[in-house]
Amino acid sequence: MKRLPALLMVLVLAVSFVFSSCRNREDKEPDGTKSSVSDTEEGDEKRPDTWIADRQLSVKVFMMAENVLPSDQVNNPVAQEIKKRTGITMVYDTIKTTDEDQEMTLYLASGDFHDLMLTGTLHTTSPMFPIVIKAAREGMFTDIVPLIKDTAILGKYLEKGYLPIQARDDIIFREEFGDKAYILQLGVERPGSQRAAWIAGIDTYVREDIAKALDVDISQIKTQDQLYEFAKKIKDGNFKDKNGNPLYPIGAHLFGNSDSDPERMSYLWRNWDFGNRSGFDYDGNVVKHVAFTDYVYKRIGFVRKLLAEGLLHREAFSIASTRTQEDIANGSYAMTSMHVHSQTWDTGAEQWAKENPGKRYIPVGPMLNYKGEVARTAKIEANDCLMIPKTTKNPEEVIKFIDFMASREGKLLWQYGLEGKHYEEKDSKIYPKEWVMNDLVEAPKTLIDEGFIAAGGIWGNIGGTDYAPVEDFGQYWFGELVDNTKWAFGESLLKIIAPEVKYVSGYAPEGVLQGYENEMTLKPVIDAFDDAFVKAVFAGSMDEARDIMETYKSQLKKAGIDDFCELLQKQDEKEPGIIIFYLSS
Amino acid sequence: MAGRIIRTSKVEWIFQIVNNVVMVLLIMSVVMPFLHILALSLNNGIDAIRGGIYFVPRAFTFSNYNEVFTNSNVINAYGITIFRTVTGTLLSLFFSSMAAFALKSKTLPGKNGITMMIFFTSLFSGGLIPFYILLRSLELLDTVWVFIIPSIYSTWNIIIMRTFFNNIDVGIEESGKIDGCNEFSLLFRIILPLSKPVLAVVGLFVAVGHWNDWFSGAFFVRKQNLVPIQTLLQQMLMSQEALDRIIKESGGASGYIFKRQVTGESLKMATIIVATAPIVCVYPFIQRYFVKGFMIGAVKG
Amino acid sequence: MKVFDDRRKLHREILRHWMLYIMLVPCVVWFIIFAYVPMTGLLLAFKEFHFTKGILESPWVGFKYFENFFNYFERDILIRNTLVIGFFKTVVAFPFPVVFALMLNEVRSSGFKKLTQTVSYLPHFISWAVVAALLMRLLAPDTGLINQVKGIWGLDKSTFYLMEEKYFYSIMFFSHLWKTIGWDSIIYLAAISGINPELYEAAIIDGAKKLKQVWHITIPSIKFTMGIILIMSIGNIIKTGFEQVYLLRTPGNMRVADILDTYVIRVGIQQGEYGYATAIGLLTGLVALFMVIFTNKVCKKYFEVYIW
Repeated sequence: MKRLPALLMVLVLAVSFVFSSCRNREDKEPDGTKSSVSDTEEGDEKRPDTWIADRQLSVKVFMMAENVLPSDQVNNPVAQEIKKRTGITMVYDTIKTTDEDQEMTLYLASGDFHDLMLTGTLHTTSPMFPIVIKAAREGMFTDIVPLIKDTAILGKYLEKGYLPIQARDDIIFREEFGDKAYILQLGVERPGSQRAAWIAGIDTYVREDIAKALDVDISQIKTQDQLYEFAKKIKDGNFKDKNGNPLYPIGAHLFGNSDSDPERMSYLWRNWDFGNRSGFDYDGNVVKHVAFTDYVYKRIGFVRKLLAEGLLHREAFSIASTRTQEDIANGSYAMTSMHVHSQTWDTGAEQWAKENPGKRYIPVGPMLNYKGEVARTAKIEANDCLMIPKTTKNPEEVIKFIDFMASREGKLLWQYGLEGKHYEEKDSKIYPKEWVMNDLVEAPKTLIDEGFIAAGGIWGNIGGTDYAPVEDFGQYWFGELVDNTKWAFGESLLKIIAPEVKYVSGYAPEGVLQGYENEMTLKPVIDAFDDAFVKAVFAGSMDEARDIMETYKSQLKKAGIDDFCELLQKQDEKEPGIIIFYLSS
Repeated sequence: MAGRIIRTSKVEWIFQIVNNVVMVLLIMSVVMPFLHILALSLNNGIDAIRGGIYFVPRAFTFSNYNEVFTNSNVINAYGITIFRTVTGTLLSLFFSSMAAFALKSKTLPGKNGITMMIFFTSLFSGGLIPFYILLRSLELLDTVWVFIIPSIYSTWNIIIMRTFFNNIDVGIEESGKIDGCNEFSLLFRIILPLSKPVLAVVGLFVAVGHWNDWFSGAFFVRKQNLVPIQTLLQQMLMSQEALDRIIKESGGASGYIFKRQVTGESLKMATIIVATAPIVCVYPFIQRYFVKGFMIGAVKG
Repeated sequence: MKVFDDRRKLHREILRHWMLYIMLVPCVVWFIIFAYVPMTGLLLAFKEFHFTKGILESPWVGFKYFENFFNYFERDILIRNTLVIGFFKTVVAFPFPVVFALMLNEVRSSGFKKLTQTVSYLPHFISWAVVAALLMRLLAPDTGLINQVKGIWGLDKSTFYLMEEKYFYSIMFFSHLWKTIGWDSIIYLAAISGINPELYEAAIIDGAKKLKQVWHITIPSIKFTMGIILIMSIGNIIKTGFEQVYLLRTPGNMRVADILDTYVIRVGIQQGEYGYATAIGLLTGLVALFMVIFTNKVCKKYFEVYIW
């Protein structure tokens, strides 16, 4: 015990050594991979108007994307062209895990920064979001407002009505930062531009042969009762799957639900999808959480009935996607649920559709939502985010470069490559060459190495904003003008299930919860809704199910749900429509 | 080996039968899942989605292994892993055995305090942030030593070694002292040669720890040429799984259309085999130190 | 007490063992640098971490995180589940590798023995994610192997094992055992191999039966190893590790499966609250420390096995 004081002394010394030395390092000259200050080169060679500066731009990317970067980031054809036009060489440095928030934390705590930081899609609910905001609050990033003021593309961010509301209020121009902005969110679509055929959305599908055999007009299935009757008919029809086993009348979602994504389950209760995706909505004229409405018991009752009568796959709420895909590939589900494009991509549904052309899955309904409508809603959002650390020299050059990359000229380079080599242009429409379309399927990495993004890369995407692909290039997806087969089937389905799509801009109630004083207590309880729901579904009796739900409701009350609902209502009344309560699945 | 002829009683016969049956069951419970994994790893990933593969691949292919071995960094990554495993294990054994030997002494003043100080660290951790800052200020980041130095000691290894050293007959030690050995030569000439089983065990644990560690390669080095094999495998796996996820979340419609033979799931199976096979091959060499009666040769011979 | 005498003796002992101290120097230095210095991170349990200010200069927040935790409505359930699961995995599972090593030791054919041993430790190399996926297949209602076998015997084959609370602990326990028994037995095999064969020979001459040999020679010889491993692992009763439980959790068994580690992952780290996670880590560390000290005392007193 005598040596304890001595030991402590050593400890204190060691601690102060470590943490003091880390402060000294900030003055050190960053090594070669970091920013090199722009040279003001004299040279009388003619420079293009797009010239910015002769420098390297290092980008720290918080996405695990090492293998979708060009093997040579400096000398690939597109990089050389970019260098010729702007003087800038762009070097991405990615992370090695999918644990982006952990990586971001270590990065910010360590104090060695690149010229630019790039994250993947950022919402208020992303785990990374509080970390980025925290760093912004601590003044670690450069204010972008004065820098984008005079730029052609990014300057539009300051115009009214350009940005989606969520990107504007929750991410870029947050109230707390006053007239400053530290985060540049990308993925904004140019207002008025033509959108892709609506792609998200989970619906109920049925095997075509079964629907035909039963002679049911599936487009007339609109209510839960009709769905139930249909499922019963399937069960009585004694259909078999490929291996001769009896079918599940209603199977699990194509990707199962082992990752507890509540959104995937709403195909079971479309009629009662109050507060879909957010949990909150107006019941009459009061904002309520779905647990406090009657819908929750309707859902529980319905699912329990399906289970009791053997109409629903018993593991629908917990099964892993490997097993569901296997089941669907064997045609074991009469009805299932999936995306419109699922039968044309690497999934079990594709395998089934390929091998059994007359038996593929076709949409049921569309069923009505809780308002009794078929209307589809989709949210306009932005995605990736850029931050310029305070340590970056000449940040105006960085912004200018991003602006170049976001222009049509820049986008052509990183999205379509070089004219003549990779594509031809006719009437402002872009036609990728045949070998490019071929490599896209057969050898995607060679395309990535050429320096453009088509084959699933990310290199160059710092210019990924002000999107209007149809107006700019004549097509929404890369190469759609040359070959549309991959999308055709999905789009034909869309005409049935989503004849009309309503686009909304605003933010989800979770956005209000983020930063709410009571967040730490309330959020875990709100998140526990799906667990409580499933517990109730599998409870021994309906009374027990009610007990579980009522206990959960009392926990919600204790955690302060009423105050939060009131806050939501107040905010919504202040600026109607800005909070998006309901989004269709 | 004299004295082997023992009359086996009925009870012992029954015991032997039961014992062997239990062992066979255990072997089956392990071998069957492994055969399943092996079959999946040798099957086309896209085909495997259809299921129904148990112990024999249906659409036989090496594409999952190709995916692993055509990566340009894989040879280098194996090199890094082998280097860190060999160097790390030797250094760990060297330093831990000294510490364990010193702490074994019954009369060493301060021994309990130091033991406690070592043990204490196994219960508390300050988290990743200070550790990262520490490695940074020691300039260990982005060097191969970041895999070795921070894992030289572990509480568990030191204490296990100490326990085994304690079991060694005191008489041997005393006779060593009478022969004029100092404490260094006592450890290296007498104690360690008698401790091959524990060196084998601790060596195995340290080596497997080094072999399996993907975390430090992912967080503490940035240069791709310093990445050990497990980190590389993890990276490949995650990027396949990221593709799977894109297909899951957007129904795949984000626009990229390439042919895959590999899925996250099938690659995962191949990586298990790739990561396990070398260690399985090494084990028999270690195993011979665990044979009963091994020690007798060491003492008498 | 003869203080002077003691002190003189102490100095003499220190001088006599100077070589041992030299052997310990790298160890102590290493533990200070790589274990104690990063422990400054524990301060975050009482601070609000600022990137720019670093750990030492971030502002204090007192016991805020601890209060948050103690006000959490499911606190008691979390603690209870953690202790139950930890008890199963450390105390109940403890004798199994020992018994396995003893049984393996009695296998007569040396080829079969080596094979069993090699095979038994393979599960150590499969990640929990893969084990959990296999388990879910095995235990699925109607289609899973277990239920299929039950079906052959004419029993109800619709049991949804993973959705029912009462099966969770056995699933967890046996899968844990399967994955660890071979690996954990290695250390005992090594200990057994260190036993002097003359002891057995003497016993055989005395006419001792196999069981008696095991009871009177083998077990006493590996007593220390067993004791030390028990003491060292006892802290894991509260530090259960999260992967296995996290992967086997379903809404149906959540009430018995939610533990501190899964909670920390869910709440602490995902919301960027390092302080909260650190605070819970500190609490569990303290509890574990108390448990280990207690076990060490008891073992020292009754079995003469101890770490310090």
